[in-house]
Amino acid sequence: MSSKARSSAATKKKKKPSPATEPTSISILSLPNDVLLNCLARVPILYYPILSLVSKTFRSMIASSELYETRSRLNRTEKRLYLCIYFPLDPVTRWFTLCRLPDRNLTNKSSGYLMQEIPSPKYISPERSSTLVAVGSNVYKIGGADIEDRYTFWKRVHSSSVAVLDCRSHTWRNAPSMRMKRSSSSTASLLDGKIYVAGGCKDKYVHHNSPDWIEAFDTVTQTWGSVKNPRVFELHHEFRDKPFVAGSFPLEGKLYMFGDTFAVYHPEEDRWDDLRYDYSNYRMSWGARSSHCVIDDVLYFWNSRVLEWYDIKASLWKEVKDLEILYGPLAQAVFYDRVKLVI
Amino acid sequence: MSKKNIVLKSSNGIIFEVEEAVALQSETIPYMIEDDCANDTIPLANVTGDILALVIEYCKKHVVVADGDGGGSSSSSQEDLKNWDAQFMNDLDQSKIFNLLLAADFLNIKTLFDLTCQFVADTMIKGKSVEEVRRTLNIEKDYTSEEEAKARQENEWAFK
Repeated sequence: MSSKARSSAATKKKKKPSPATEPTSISILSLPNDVLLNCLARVPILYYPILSLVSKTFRSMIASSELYETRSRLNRTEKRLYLCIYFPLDPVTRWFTLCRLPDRNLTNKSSGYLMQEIPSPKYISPERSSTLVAVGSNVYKIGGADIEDRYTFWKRVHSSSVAVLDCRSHTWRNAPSMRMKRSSSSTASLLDGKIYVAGGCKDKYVHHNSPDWIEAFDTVTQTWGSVKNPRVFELHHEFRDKPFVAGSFPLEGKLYMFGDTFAVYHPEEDRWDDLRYDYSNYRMSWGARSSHCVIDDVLYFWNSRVLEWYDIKASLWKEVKDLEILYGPLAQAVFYDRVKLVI
Repeated sequence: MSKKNIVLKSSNGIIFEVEEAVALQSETIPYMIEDDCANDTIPLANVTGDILALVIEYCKKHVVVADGDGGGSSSSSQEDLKNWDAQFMNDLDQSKIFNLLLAADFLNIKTLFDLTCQFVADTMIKGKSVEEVRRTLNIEKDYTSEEEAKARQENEWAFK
């Protein structure tokens, strides 16, 4: 180490640099695009609506796909919370995402956070669906109800459409339609990059070997494919007082499907095995048809006033302890931030 | 083994002589050494003397020391380094930070680039309102009043 370098490095910081060595004064907007992207990618997504109001340059960067590519490269992907609400006579589904307030005004007990409405096109098909599956940065809205015409929007028909919300740009597109029209009582589960959708279709498709009672969407190739029908319904519709409703969830690399009987699917062998009709499986079937979610291979189930989880190794249901309960009567469980459940 | 030194020259002609291990935290410098095919001075046309001094100060602190040279840097724990980094960044004004960012990008010193980007994100953007970001970063509002009203309308805030 030369003394020259050491003294130079050591003294420079303390003394004011002479005008000759003064670096040119630059603004953040004169940084090269990729450098600025690297800074913005490190800001939590909650602040992006604020940034897009700062200047037009920021606005176009926040909307750019490069920003999200930079975030993935830096492993800066974040979990975001979305809320979707339907009102009976409103043809529009309202979507919201959690954001920071644009102008910090933390008086009157505000948390500084709020739910920002994101654009939702009026007539993208399906109109209504509670069959929602999040895959990466996309939310798939599958089947449900379409209105027959815009003047009689309360009349709805089952839909085979699939709409996709890109959570990076908050834009909607349509994915290829299903082979089968399904109502919102269909069930959908994500397993190994495939969305398995079952039920919600007319009763005549439930029995016989109707191949499309269940079908699977490959999110990589964006194509629909067939899955063997597990035939989990025994009663014919003339003997039923309620419609056929299936429930499903993925657990430990397998797909659990519940109807009158229960079955489990092994995707790599394309094989269904029957599940015994015992107490534990009956509870699972109840869970699958109520508010539930699977986080890190643990099934959580909202059982009226208690949040339970299923210990698959011991085949036991256990209660989640020390839970601060903030809930409404129509609770829906969603997966949030890897550790938080929003009910 | 004798230590090899590398001589760097800033855009305004200031010479810095540093140990090879310090300089080689830059992934750009090895290419410049190869290109020059010699132990000559490496000219850094994009980096002024005081910014280069900062870069070297950072690299000296972060050099992986094989043989303690008696300085305080030889046994820095991760925690110490983190505190040092925070202090290092805090002492700089905004113009220096942006120039340091450009230098880290040009010299391809990944940890310094990451540190500076994170500092910009955390201290100049995160947790600030629209006006505060504009003021901090000295950004002139380039929206007309109508455009801003429209942009705000698009970001219609619900559940106030």
